Amino acid sequence: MPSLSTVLTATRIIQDVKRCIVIPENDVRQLCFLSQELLMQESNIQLIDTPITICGDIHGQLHDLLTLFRIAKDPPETKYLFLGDFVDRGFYSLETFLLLLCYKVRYPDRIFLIRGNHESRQITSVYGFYDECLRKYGNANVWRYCCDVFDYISLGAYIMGASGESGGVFCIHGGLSPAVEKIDEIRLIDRKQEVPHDGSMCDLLWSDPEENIPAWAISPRGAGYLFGYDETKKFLHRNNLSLIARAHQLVMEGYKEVFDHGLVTVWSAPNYCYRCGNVAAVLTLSDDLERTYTVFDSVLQDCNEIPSKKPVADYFI
Amino acid sequence: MIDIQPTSPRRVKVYSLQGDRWIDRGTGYCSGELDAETERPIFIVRNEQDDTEVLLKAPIEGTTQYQKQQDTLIVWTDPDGNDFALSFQELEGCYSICDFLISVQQNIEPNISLVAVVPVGSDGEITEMIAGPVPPPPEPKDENLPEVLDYLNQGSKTTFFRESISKFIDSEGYLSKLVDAFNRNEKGRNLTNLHYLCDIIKTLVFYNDTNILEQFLDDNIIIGVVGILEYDPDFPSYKSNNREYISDETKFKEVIPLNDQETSDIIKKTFRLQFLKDVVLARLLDDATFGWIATLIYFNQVKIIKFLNENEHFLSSLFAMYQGDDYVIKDGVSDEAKNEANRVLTPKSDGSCSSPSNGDADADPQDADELLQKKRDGIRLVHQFVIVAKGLQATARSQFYSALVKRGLFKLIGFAFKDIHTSSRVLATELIVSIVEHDVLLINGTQPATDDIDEMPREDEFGDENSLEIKERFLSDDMTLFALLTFILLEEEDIGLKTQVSEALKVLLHPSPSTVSSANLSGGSLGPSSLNTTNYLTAFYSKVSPSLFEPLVKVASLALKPRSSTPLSDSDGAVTAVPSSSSSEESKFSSLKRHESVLHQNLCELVSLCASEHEKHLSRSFFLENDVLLGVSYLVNPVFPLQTRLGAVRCLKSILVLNDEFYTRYIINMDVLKPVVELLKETNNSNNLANSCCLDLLNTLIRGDANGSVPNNRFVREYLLSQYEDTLMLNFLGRELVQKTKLEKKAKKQEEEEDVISDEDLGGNTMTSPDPDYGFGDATEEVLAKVTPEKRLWEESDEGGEAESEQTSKPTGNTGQSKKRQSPAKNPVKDSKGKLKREKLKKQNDKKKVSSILKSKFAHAGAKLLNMKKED
Repeated sequence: MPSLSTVLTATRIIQDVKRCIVIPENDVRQLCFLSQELLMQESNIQLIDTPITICGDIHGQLHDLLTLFRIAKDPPETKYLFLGDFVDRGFYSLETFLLLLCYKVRYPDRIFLIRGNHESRQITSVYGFYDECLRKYGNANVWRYCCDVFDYISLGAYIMGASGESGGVFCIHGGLSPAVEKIDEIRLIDRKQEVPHDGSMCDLLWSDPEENIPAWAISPRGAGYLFGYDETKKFLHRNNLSLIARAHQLVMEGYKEVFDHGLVTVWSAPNYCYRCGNVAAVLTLSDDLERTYTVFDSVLQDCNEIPSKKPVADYFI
Repeated sequence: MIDIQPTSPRRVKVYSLQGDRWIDRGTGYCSGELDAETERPIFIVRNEQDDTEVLLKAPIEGTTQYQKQQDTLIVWTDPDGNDFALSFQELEGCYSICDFLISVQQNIEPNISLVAVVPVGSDGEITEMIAGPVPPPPEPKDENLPEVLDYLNQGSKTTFFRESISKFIDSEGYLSKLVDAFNRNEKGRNLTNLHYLCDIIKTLVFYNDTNILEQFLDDNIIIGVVGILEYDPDFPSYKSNNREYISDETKFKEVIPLNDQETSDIIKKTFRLQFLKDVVLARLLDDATFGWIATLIYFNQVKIIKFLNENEHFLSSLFAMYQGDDYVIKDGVSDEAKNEANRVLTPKSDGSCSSPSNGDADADPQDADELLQKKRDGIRLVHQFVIVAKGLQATARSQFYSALVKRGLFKLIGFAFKDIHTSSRVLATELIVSIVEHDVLLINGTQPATDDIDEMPREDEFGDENSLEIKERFLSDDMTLFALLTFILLEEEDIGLKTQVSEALKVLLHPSPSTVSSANLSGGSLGPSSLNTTNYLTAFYSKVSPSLFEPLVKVASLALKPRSSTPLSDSDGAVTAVPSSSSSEESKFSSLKRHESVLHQNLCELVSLCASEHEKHLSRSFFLENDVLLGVSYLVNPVFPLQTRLGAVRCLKSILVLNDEFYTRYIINMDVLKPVVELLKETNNSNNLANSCCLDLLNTLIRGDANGSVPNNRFVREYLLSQYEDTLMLNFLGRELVQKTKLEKKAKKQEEEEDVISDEDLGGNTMTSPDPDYGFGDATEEVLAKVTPEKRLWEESDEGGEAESEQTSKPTGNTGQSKKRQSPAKNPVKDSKGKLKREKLKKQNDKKKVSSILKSKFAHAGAKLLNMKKED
């Protein structure tokens, strides 16, 4: 149960973040430390009950995340699982991540975060989050605090229906790894590290399903693997699963089921990069693990500025 | 008409259309030329068999449209309605005729046109204008803006149109007219027109035309352009404040007068470009336009950095502000690195940073404040350009960074670290990290390494007037930066800065080949191999590491104390560990504890780095002599925050995978893994990060690391089995470890029985001869060469122990284990230094016996492991 001061701090930051007010560095640091302590109590693969709403990549599109919360209801009313890639690309990576962390410390049992391949020092240095922090604070320490939190975020989730009859749902950002046959094996990973370049932890965050191959293939991304129908079926069977829910790939329709409905990609960043023209979706699993997809588009509401980057404060000559 | 050159004759077939059939008019050589009589442009085709026979002579005039089809065909209808086609034998023939047509259009017959017919999909096709008459865009008036927009949209479709319009806009001051229209309509509050204007500007952006963009950036235009873009029809209910931002001249902070109008202009334009790219147009830009603007910015930045490099005065006068703030010690080498840093860093009693020594201490307070502000701005300026330089090519970056160092960057850094403003220290650390990451020699080069001076790139690269200063820096020796960073790591309370400094230390401690690759500035042969890290690291271990790792040594001393005394008593000033609490609440604001935890975690990471990357005789001797591993082990105890405890477990794991038998022996002798086993037990019933962290270590002990098995782990497993079997049996992976180890032992026992016979055959020598795979021989020599006398005593007796072990190893195999149980950590001893020393000797005597036993075991088991491997 979060303490009163935690609740107050989190509530205040939530309000400010929604209005795109830059959060003081000290507050970010404090929030990051609180989150670390909370996250390190979680297992690599978290066990979560239904009903739950599963969301894919957000990529710093704060206003679309706010739309998502408006449509699917704010926490704690709805229980959420976010499949990673909170940051990069969009203009509000920091606010997006802080908002999710605030909800996490405020309602630790109503919102769950797992790590995406963009929750990494190396990737964020290239795809925007680092620059955003530098731009907003003039130095990179806020980025450092957030990256330290990234290391503590768990790797996946296992969702079991209330009835327990049909197989559970395995949730992961990327996909399968040739090094992981049973979900239990993931427990042996010491996840507190920068996302490695290979090995099971890397694969789980980087792999993609591919319909035209049976088993494994080299991934064009340069990390992780492509995995096909056969491997997916085997994995489902071995682990008594009915579904693998993952994100990691843009889907114009917001979601896409493949492999005889054994795997779904969920994408929750509408009009990705502010110009891809796609819609977004979230997946809600009922107690019987029945799937309901809610599709939504990008709308500007409740925000006091046109989404854009912050200009630098000063320029020196 | 001098521009029009006749084309060389090209082989071609001439066709004309009759009804719906193309009739072959013969084959000949076609050229475009000016008719000798009329001086009007014509196509002329002469028969290939008889060049006096003209197959076709067609004037190029009027509004004829020429179509280029399938790359080799030109088709047109003449003013009389006759259709002709020229089918060229080669592509080049067709192209040269097209070029001719273009030049005719541009110079003589502006109303003819040339279009390319491009097939699209399976049966569609589009025509794309290559040359032709382009009417000027309509003059922007309040009532015709939709037309203007439509016109520009149409024009955006072909390169030719875009170029023509771009030329027109350039020459006719079209943008000022648009800005005038904007000002009128904004005054008149005509929102519809403002939206049209915004779309017009957006359309022009997507022309991706450097000319147009350059004009946007013009002093008289830019405000209008960003103003127009405030009225985005896609967001009718929002209005940004672009103009307010861009017209705020105070955003430009001039620390030192640039005295160069051209560069000043480039800097301003680059700033505006960045603003356009990142803010005003951020949502609009597609990858192509984004990349194009980014490239323009890049080239400007190259120019700016080049200017800063080459300008004689700018950087020098910038750094002159910090005269007297330089932290470089001029009066020889100081032994105690920390004192050094302390002396340099101690703030003046008034709490502000020290004032410069060059005479303006007498200046009035306001001036002093101004100067202070200027100095702080100077740090931000250098930081800004160091970040800019990060995006440039390695050579340009090297030049800029070495120019910074050469012209006095360290004065600035000296000032920054004394400044009470955290932001100054943060930026200065980022400067160091950026530069060191790029080329460690730039900083390392200020270290002594006298035998390296000749190889230093700056020696031959830079002028004489500066060499004196550089030499001083060489002479003034050594670990100053290390000392400074160590001091900050230990004392700084800002956690972000602490982490940053730790990053800087990691880079300094692990100068990888890539970080020095750019050192070949002057074309010298300076490569990674000539990086004299031995001197550098020896200096580190003798001068810096005692201070750097002191917190761990202190913690280790706790571990060596009797259990009865309270480990956390602060009276001896050992550590200030506060009991960890499970509730995040209590720990939340305990910044002191946080600060210490971050320090401990960083030190654990540095231990891992040093142990795995540095030469063993340096790092291992230091860590073993000072019981650093014991300190790390102690950090796993529950009195420390979980983050610290796990950091320590990871550090121990990184030591285990080194497969180093000295470390292994130490770990076993000193019962280093005890707290890890306890942490495992503590988390047995919870599936969380701490548990996974322990399991990861057990898994490594069972299976080795990613690179394969780690032979020495077997001895660690045996030690765990003998000490903690009961606890391990409570955990699924622990059980696996126990079972595996027991099986191994069983197998070993059987083999030993067989070996008794073979040992006798060999006269028992196998037991003592070290297995080369474990590096006993040379590793021992290395240590012996470097250790302190006290240490030598241990090692020597250890050597003696080997002889002893010849006779005693087998019978006392179990005694060794029981002796280890009486490890000094549990022996009561008084808190005095003398006693501690004696205790240490006693401990070492114990070690001697145990290790000699283990050593013989090692050699034995190692040989067997090798045999097993071969069988595999």
